[in-house]
Amino acid sequence: MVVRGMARAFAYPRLELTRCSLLRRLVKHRAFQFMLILPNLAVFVLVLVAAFLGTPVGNRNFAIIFVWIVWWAALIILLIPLAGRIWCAMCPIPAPGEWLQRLAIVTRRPGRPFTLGLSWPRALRNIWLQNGTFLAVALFSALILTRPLATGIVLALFIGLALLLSLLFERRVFCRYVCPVGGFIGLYAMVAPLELRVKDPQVCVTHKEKDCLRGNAEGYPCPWMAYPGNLWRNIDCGLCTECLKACPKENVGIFLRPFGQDLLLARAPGWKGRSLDEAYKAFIMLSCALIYSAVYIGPWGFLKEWANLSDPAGFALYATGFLGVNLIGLPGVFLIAVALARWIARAGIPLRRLFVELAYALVPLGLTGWIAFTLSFVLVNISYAIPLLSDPLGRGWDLLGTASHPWTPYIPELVPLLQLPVLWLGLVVSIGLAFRIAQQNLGDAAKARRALLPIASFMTLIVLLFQRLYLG
Amino acid sequence: MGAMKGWEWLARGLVLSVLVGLPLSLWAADRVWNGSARWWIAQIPESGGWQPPTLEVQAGEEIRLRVTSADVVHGLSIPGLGISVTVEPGKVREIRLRPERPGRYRAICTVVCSPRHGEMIAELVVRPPGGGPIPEITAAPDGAFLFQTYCAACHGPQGEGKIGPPLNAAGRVPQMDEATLRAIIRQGRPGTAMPAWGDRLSSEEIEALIRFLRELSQEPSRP
Ligand code: SF4
Ligand code: SF4
Repeated sequence: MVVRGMARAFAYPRLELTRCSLLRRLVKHRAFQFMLILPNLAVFVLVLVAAFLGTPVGNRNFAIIFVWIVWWAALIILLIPLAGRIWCAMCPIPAPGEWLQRLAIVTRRPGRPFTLGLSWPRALRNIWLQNGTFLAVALFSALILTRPLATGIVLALFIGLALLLSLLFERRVFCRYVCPVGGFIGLYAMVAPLELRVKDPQVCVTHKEKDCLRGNAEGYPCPWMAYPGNLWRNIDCGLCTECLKACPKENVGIFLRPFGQDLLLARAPGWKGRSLDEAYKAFIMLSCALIYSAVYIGPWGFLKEWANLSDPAGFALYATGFLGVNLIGLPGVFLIAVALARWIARAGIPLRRLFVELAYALVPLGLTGWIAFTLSFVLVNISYAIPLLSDPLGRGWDLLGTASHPWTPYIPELVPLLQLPVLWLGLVVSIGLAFRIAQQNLGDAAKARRALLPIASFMTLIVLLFQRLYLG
Repeated sequence: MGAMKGWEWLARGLVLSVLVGLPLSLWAADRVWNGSARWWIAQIPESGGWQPPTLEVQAGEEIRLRVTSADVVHGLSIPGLGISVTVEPGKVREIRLRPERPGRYRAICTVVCSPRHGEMIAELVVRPPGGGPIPEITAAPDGAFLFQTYCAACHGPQGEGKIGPPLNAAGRVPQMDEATLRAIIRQGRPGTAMPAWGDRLSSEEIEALIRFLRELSQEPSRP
């Protein structure tokens, strides 16, 4: 259903979890976010120590296995699909900068924040920069994913940049506009069945003080620069719960809802509508899942060599191909599919508009593509984590007696049986979503059905490609 | 507000213990497990070879040398100290030694690990207890040990031939004169995998190797 006015803002059933008074008291507690961050900060410190001082052998180093297998799998298989941006609420990377800005860790300190407080340039108030930072990290993934030192340097750069930006700019601009991880978490968080929203948007319209925007004694102004009264999509909210603490009307809550509602949204007050930067995030994520599957799982050893920077000419070729597919190849083929759809449906809407709109239908497929790709290595390699509990730096310790636990791939023969249903589920959901988006843009169902043909074919082709790579 | 102050101090304490206490405990744990152990990490020469390239110890000092590989299977051999072990990726191998004689001991890889395997050379420097210059080692080189260290990876442990041709009675060594053998060892065989050893082995070592090759190729066969 297209959202027209505030009164009809939430056109889907929602179950307010924060009606449970225990949960409400917990999330309203000023130390709530800190309690989420603290254990992750400890793991992060261990990761950095292991990366810089531990063994250079990737699968014997805590940094590689816990970041790129344990954390990554938890993020992409559980946290994002089920709880959206919950990682952003517990991420240790922006924490030091934010604490420094506030000159406090848990308390609400009144007065000027410790920052130059510049406002983020208007031209960059989108996720283009995040698309760029993601591509830059993804291009060197073969290096970063296997060499502890490279992982350490990248993470140290993240934390350094987050700190620097929080000293220069107001609030959490690093998370909102720069962090390569935050970009795709936001995109895929729109699928999640969990949201933080206002209970009744009408209450916000009439509430003149807008404590959530300005902050009050209970909570800081929104660090993500969102206004909860106009918050409709998970991509825009970091789940920090400050507004929930600040709102004197008790109008903010955490809700369970059907999956993927944010992707159905076509228009809403205070939101400019679907945009090209986010569409490109969807292309980039889908392309990367495909390229990684080809490089790491496909039969082409030379691709892996090239990606690994073993020879400069090979890497240059790989980089060209990688960026080409991400920025031109996949979006280009999709553009052709959209042009065909527009022609078949005899639609009057501009091609560029329809291209952007329909790109959002690729979000579920991209997410399931990443889940399938992650399944291909997580069960096979997760047992590397067991010896690392005893010897995180790979320095010959045996703290818990598990140091010599051998590498044990778990149910490798069942992996394709898990991957295929995931991919096909993504396909079905994406086709359904494409139909709904086409309907929003073309007006009637018959036109939308016709327009669906090339789009669904494109999506099916993508799934067949994945399937080919996984089944060999 | 008072309760919040308590929370703030608790949080600061916790953050401090994570940022400072955790690295300190890791350091302490490493002292417990590694004590004064010295490390040698093997990597193919393309990624940097032995790390560190030089290890310095005091003569008479007992050292726990822990070796591991960062990539493929390597072998560590220190001919002057009679050490030869296999080094597997991700496995930590501990060698205890107490080198008594000061000198520079060459450490090499005994497994053909990469196209540039021949460059896998490091040095164990044993310093005289009271300081002073490090003497050159002059003990007569042991041909059999040199063969196992440098040649066996390609020519087989019994000289039966592998990547390289056989060097036992079945091979062509019996027909070669000393000058030819010396030239091949020194300069290698261009166009084949046989590297030039001239800049890595001393003349005495090459002579010892030639003597050993003569013995090897005269024996009918070895068990
Ligand atoms: S403070 Fe509460 S009621 Fe007021 S605008 Fe913000 S969320 Fe709405
Ligand atoms: S909308 Fe509320 S929970 Fe979301 S980032 Fe802003 S203040 Fe935090």
